[in-house]
Amino acid sequence: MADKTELLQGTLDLIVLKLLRTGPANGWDLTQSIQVVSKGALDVNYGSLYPALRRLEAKGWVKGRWGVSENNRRARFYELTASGLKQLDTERQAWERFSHALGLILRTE
Amino acid sequence: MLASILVRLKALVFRTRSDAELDEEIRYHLERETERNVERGMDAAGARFAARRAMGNVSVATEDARDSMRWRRLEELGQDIRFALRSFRRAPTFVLTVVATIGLGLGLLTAAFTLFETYVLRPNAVRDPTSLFDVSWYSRDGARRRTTWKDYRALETRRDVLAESYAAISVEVRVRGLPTGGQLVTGNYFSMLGATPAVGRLLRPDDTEIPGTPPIIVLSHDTWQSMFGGDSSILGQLVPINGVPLRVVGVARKGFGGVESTPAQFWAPITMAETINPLKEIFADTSQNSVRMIARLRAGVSDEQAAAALLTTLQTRTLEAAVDRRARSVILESRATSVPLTREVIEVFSPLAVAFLLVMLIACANVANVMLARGMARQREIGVRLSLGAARGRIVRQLLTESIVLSVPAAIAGYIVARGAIAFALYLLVAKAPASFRPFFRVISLTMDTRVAVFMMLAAIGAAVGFGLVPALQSTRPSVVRATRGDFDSGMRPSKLRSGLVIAQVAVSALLLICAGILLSTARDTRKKDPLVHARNIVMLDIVPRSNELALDEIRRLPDTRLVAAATSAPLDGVFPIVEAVGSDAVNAEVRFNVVSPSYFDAFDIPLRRGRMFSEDEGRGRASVAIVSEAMAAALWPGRDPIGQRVVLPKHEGPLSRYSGAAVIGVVRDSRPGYISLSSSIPVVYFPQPSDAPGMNLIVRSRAESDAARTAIESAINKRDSTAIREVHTIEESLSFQLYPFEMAYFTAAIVGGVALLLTSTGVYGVLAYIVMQRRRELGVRLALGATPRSVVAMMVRHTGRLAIIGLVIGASVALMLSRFLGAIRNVFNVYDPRGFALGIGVVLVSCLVAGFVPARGAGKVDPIEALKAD
Repeated sequence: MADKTELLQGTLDLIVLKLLRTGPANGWDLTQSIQVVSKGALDVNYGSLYPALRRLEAKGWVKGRWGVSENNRRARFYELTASGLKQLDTERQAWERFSHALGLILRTE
Repeated sequence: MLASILVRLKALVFRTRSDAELDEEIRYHLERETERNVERGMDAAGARFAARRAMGNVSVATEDARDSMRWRRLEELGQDIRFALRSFRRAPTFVLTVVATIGLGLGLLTAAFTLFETYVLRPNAVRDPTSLFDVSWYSRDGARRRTTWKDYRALETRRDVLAESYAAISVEVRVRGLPTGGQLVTGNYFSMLGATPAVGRLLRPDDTEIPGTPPIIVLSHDTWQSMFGGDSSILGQLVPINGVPLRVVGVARKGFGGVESTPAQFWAPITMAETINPLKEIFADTSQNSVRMIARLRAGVSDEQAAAALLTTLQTRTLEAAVDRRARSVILESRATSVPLTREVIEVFSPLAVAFLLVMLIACANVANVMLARGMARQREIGVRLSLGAARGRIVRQLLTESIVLSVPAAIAGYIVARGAIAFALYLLVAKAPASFRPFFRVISLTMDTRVAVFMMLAAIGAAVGFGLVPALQSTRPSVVRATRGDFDSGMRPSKLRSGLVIAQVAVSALLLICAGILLSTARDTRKKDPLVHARNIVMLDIVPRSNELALDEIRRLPDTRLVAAATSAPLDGVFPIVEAVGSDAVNAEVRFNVVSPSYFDAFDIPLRRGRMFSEDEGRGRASVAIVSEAMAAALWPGRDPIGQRVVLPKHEGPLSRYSGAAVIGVVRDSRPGYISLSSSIPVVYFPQPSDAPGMNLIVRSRAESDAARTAIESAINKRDSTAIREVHTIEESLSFQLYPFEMAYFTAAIVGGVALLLTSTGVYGVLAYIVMQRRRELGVRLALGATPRSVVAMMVRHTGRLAIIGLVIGASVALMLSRFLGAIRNVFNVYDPRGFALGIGVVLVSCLVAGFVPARGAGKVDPIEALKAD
């Protein structure tokens, strides 16, 4: 637990969009996916996940609807919209440019 | 984009549903997390706790999430307003206090502003009012003069600077038994001011070509409506003005009243002036009677240029006149608004404005105090909300919303108070006005227009932010932990802030009441000190020289006449002229003089202090003797016997020179050399002359009451010669006319000061009551340890006294400092009057101590057991 990384500001949106690319998911699924995919290295404050989903929904990048979860309870499922897909591309490119540039800087002695 | 707006709108409208959905999602998450934790081997409670901890602060995050919605502010505002209304329902007394306090302050301020706005800011409803100027001039003796008809005719030809000008004479007459004010004007009046008729026609330039014609009249719309009931057959009706029937030819459009401070009620041709008032010559070459000249400057001509040009014309015209009567300067006063915004007007208005503003500030301080107390009482609530994760900014905003929500009913209350205050002020003005003043007040309409409304809104919101912000910041400051524990006074100094507010209030009301005190003692002085002020049953006449003998004859024949006196300068009217006099030790002084008949002192009951009065022979022979006032004796012969000294007038030639070197035969009590606003301690010297010298002001002391005496004298003289009397008035009229402004000033100051005092007293009461409550526990301990209730009460009263004294010292110092700037009124008021200061300070101190004593007495009644058990 000691080597957990704090989430960089603004990256939660990117993560959520990326994870939703594989298909609709509810909030809980997403938290599990983050844990699994990052191999437990990312510390996501779940309290900020739901508001983030709201924010993405308000911007029209994801769409939420009520459905039934795998344990037969009412849960809200989110799926990526067309504009969300475009946004994911934009943000991913931006991130890659940023991390590439950061890498260059960090590597120079 | 549209879709996102729809989502936001939906979120806003269905906020409750949306919030419930969020809650449900989070609940679901917590359940799953708990289940997983249990699967991992935690016990149920531990699993739930771990799940919650992993979740973090949901409410802050939720607020953050809402931040993403642009509508959040709007949504919060609605929420805050609903919350404010809910909390106000629980505290009606609080709401009432705040609304009443702010309403009172705001109402008075608005009333004052309405007055200012109506007279000074609102432009006259005529064409291009900013280029209109009133023309008057100063002669070399420093007297302000108006133009005569001939002057007007000469000046109006200066087309190089004036586009156009008209002449007018104001007349006060009775129409259908009601006092009515009208103007006799030149025919170009209406076209120059751009007025149009509502009915019939207005006056035309060809109406005023031949003196004595035509007998026509134009009514104002208001007069037509109020006196003639809007009679549609008004045209052609005859309206008698001073007994001269004038035919109505038209009615001016609604709202047109000319450019004077009181709207004219009718207009007639200026050529009718001598017919309407046969006693007043206007058109003769030798006439000294003035007409009012209003000129419109040519575009691009400044008022200085115009004044300089007009001065050359006037100088040419007065070249032949006596040296002191020659023109020295021309004054152009703007008629863009009813009252021109001159230095004098600003000097008169600004202390008033400041006084009303200060009352408003006191009211705000009071409300801030109440809000602070409420903030303290809600500390626990606010602390809990802070600890539940509400952001401080959010709570401050919410508390501010409360203030602003309160300011709406406060503004309404203020509006009602302002209406009431204006109505009361007008009533007071009219009720207290001398009879001859009354026609002026009847037609003033003080309406509150948009400018006033905007002013009120701004003032209300300003007040709301003022009284809301500090308490809001103050009460959201405590640390979360302490607040939830209920411990909030350590580290916070609201009591210091509140004491500061009280000190400021005391200072302001002391300042206002010192002013009221000075005004009151001045008003009493004007009434008390001077024998002239007590003169009754006196009629003063100005008779044309040729009819003097005849008039005296008639007056002496009337059975009620007690005595007749004469003077070159009428007392209580104008100012006695100045002469330089030299005393025996070459002490010279500027003194004022009057040449009077021997009976003058008896007529006014001016008592003799030393020596003797003039004898009849000295009067007849214009003997070179003098009677001096006490002030004159003290100025020229300090510490010596004035009787037998000589009054030398070194610089004087002409008729007065015969009195140079006059021997002083008597000393009389001081009295004012003219207007009541002059000090009675100005040195005055009197020289003798006979009572039947022509061209003097006649003073008739009657056994009958003044009004009856005047009627009798007028009819007796008019029987013989209806043109003999130039002017006649009673001393009572003259006095009430001059005392009136003082009384109004005193009333205003007393009312404003009274309101300030009331607010301050309640402020002191509130703070003391609060301090007693806050220190209950400490007081309980003191009492338990053996302090007597008396000593506890004394301690609290001392506390009030300390606050009051600091405030009083500040208030009095400010009053002293301000006194130095009030040069303009220092001649009238003794601004350093110690009685005024003592009165103001005394009243404030006593009120504060009384207001503080009531809660202080409660301190002595604290039950030690109860107080200690409380926490």
